[in-house]
Amino acid sequence: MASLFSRLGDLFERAVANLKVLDQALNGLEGSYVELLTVLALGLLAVIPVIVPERHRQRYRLANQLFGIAIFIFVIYTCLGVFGMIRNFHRGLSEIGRENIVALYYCSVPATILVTSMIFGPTFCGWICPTGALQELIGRIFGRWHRGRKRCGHPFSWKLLAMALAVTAIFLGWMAYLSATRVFFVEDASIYWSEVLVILLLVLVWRMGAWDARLRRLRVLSFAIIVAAAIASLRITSPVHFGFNKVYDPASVLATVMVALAALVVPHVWCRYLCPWREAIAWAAKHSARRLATDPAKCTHCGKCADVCGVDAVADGKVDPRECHMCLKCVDNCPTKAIALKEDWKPMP
Amino acid sequence: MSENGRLSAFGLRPSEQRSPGSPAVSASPRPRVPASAPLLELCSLELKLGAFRLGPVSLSLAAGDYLVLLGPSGCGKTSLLKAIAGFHPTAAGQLFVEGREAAGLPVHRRGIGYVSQAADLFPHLDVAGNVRFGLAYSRLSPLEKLERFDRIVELVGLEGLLDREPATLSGGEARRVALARALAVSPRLLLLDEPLGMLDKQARPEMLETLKRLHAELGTATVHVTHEREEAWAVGARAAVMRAGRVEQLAPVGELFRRPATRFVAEFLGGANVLAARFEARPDGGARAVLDWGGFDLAGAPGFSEGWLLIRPEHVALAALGEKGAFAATVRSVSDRGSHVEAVFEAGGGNILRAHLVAQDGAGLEAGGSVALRLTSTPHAIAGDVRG
Amino acid sequence: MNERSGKRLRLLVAGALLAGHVANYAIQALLGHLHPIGFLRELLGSGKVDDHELFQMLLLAANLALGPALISGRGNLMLGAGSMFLILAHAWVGVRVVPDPLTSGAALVVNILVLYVGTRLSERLPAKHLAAFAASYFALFFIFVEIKWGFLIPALKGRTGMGNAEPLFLLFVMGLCACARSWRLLAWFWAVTVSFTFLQPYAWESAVVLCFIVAALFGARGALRSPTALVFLGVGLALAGLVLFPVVAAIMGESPQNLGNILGDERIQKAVGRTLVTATASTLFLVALAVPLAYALARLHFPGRSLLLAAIDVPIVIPQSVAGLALVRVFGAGQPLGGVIENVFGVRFDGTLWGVCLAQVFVAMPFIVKAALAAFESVPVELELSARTLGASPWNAFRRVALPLASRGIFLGAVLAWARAAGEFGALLFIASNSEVETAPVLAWNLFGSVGSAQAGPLVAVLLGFSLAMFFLLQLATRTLPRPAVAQNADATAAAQRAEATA
Repeated sequence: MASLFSRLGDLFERAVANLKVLDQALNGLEGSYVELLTVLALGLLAVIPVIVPERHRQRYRLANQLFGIAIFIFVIYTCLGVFGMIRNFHRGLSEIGRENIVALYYCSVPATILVTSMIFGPTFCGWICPTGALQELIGRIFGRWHRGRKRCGHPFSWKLLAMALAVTAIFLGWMAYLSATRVFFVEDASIYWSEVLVILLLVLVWRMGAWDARLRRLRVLSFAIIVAAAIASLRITSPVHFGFNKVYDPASVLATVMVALAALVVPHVWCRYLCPWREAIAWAAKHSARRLATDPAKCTHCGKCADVCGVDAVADGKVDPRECHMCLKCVDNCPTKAIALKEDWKPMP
Repeated sequence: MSENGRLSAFGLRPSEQRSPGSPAVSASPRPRVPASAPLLELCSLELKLGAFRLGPVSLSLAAGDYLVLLGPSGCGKTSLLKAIAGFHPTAAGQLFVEGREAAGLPVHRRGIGYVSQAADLFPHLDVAGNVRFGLAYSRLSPLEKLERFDRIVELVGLEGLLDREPATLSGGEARRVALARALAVSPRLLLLDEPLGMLDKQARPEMLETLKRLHAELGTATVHVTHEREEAWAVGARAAVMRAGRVEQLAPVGELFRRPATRFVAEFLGGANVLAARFEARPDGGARAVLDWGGFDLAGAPGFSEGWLLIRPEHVALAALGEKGAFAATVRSVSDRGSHVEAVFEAGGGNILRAHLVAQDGAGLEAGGSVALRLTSTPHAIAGDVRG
Repeated sequence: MNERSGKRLRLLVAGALLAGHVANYAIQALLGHLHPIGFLRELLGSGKVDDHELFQMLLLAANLALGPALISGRGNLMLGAGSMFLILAHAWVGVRVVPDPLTSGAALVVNILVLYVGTRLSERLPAKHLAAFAASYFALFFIFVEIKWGFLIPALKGRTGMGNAEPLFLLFVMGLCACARSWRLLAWFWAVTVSFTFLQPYAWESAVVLCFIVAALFGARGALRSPTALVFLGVGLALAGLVLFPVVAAIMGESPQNLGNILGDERIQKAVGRTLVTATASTLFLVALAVPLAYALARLHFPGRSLLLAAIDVPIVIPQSVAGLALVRVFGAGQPLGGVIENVFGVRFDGTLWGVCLAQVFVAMPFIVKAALAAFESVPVELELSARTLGASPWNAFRRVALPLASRGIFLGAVLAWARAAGEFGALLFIASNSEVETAPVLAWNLFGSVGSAQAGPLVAVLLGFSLAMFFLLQLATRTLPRPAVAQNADATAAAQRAEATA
């Protein structure tokens, strides 16, 4: 059993190492300004949602998300998942004036994401974020798990509860196995994140939609924890982190599995309840110039926008900028075109 | 409760007119407390508060009485009240409570409730805690304390407020709580300092009703200080008018109004015409008041030759020319008040006479016109120095 | 007519730019700098292309797409023409200024962003915003580029350690673009930028302080909309920043691991524990005596009252060393009073915890007496008199009315006194500074003397964090105590005003 796992791990490691074909060519620390590519790529973010043909906008979005996964896996090393991004942003800011290239290397992605969010809204979340894309793909593939549900959470069912308990049992078993066979990553708090996800899953099975709004406050906590950890230079790896790093990182794999499983039950579970960057982006995009505006005269209160929204950001035609991912599904599905992208350049408070 | 019953509850007695400063002797109609001594008696009480001297004041109050202390701001009403409560030391004279000298008693042994102008609720306690505060020091059994608390809360109508914080109460509510707090300990005497002051107009009648009801139910002897004469009419049976630290007159309110003892009382109570006059004895034993522009018969001999004549405006009426007792006057101004017409006349010698006329009489009046007037009731003579 | 002239203008401008770009590409190709044929052959063949050729081709393609779109009447002319111009400019000079096509491309994106934000600002917002945007842009240019290159002021050249700062310039300009719409955001932006460029060794600390100042200035609200008050607030915040900065720097300057290690040291644990115990004991002693004193001072007038009030401040006024010496002279072993106390009660002061408490009581006394006095003075006498009329004896009136109402102020005073006692150092040096009884502040001094400031640093951070945490916790606890009777009176006054208004 153990040898099987270690062999699987080796195989995985080798596969990942082979995937990074551009490793040498784009080494940012050696004076080539490769990290500026993110500026280019994310600069495109500002334009793509508005220049692609409206009729097929969601298809372009899917393509863009796949492109995003590719970009993050092959090119951008500094991101290292959402937690690593915060940690490295902290490190990068500290390096300004000392090692400017290192600073650029670590700051370019987070700074670009924040800046685009402040001007063009949370486009990053809906159009490029690999974690979000992963969850959305799972939602697309296993869409029938979500069917028949308008709000987050299912009505209580024994089947679902049994499934959640089974997931928890498997998870805890795996944890027990991991901790018995190796020196466990103490600092590797992804385990704890996955644990939170498991608990969340259980809560959702029981309390369902009733706690949705309250659970979303976990994001603030998550942000605070990650920032504190960044300051204390603790390493906390996030889901999908293993995709960026050549380090064999079982905790990150585990967390990714948990995110994927939880996304079966609740669409965008990670973005809704746990993503610290979502909190930062929501803050940055609170007064973004480009935003979704509803024309109340045109709105027929048909509820279609709320149906299609994956993060329950739309209620009765009104878009909540704290939750919106700018996926523009509500815009594309509105029968009366009541919701539209607007540019609002009035003076901010 | 019937009107008579209410009057007796207020300790209303036949009218009695006194010169200022003389002690009022009262006999309680309610045998609640042994009637041997009055509940409260001030004998030439004097206070010294910095430069301000108050008194000598003599007053007495029987158990169950309701006395209104009336006077303009700064006349020493509140200081007198505080002296009775024991906040100020007395400078001279005696203060008896139930026949015992009280000047040396500390405040908490006097058994006198006091409700200050600002209500002074304890801000750290809720309403129930405020009302219950004094019960801790009463000799009642715990069960009796509970009953007392419930009774007072019900009487004052605080049921909905018990767990509110004082800071959240309106002015009227705070005053009611303070009242309940003071009454909960069953004081022998209740002192109210401007209980209607700082309340808005809507809250005043309500508060007055509460005061009346509480007095009727509990029969606590009360001294009520105010500068609003309407309050005296509304709630008090007897009233004392104070001026510059002295009591000018103590009498039932009706008498204060109709038969004021001094010009100050007459003018403070307001509205009436107060005119300088000479008084002459008539051969038939009656008396006659002589003014510049006419003379009026008085009910009895006033006992002085110079003074003031009080003519109430509602006692002035239009007369036919040549009627007995009629006098001529010029109309200065007329204003219709709905229930009556208020007219200002100029009688001879530039004397101004205000009158309240019934509506149909007043309808025909025009400013500048000449009319004949008469008095429908004998005027009241007041002693006093006319030249001053 | 107007529409036609507009169309003609579009044709003219976009056409000229398009022609210019094509001409530029052609000239470079003719001069042999670019090889479009070879590029295409490589692209279709091996797929490996020269990135310079690729970049030039992409720029040409971009303008070939933008130009016709503009001419056909789509898009904002100013924005479109500006973008075309920028693309052309990058195609022309790009590689000569920046090291590689990637950087040039990033610079192009940022330049277009600047153009876009500038256009929007000039169209939709007051001119002040555009001016601030431009000024900020040049300031950033100055900080990141000019100081190194000395374009404009050659004397400045090389006067900074900011090597390779040009790409950072792009990042900061992006930040500026995001923040230019709002004065508040612009202030935040500059607070962060100044912290991370000029104040770099203390960047995080100064960012915390500056952001606090910005938040306070831009969050300031008041009935009196007075710029004077705002300016005063700024001045006051500068002072507060001066005080805050060392505190924040001392706490943030240490790594968490160091702090953890420090807390594990037995000597330090003991010193901190000792500080807690002695400061608490001293505070309890002070409360027991200061509350009666303060009540008496608040309620009585007696000869010598003002003298006593002034005397209470003596421990604040005199230097701590003098206080320590005075204590030793009176209570020290062998001194008259100290000797008597030692003989009679068996309590020795110097070098013992008794001495620590004595010094703490001495220095902390004014804080609690003053606070309790103010607290009792804020309790209206009328409330106590009301309690008396309800049958409460003077003691009960104090216990049930004055004390609860003053408790908040007394508690706050006790917190201050506790903090002062726990932080006492000067007087302690004289009376009890040996390592058996050293408190945390004395330990910091002893460590500083023996191992220097670098080693004492983590301890200082721990002490600071610890005292601040205690202080704020106690402050929070104070909120649960009753408030002084202000609200009620205000209510009564309002009612009175209403009554007057209706009368």
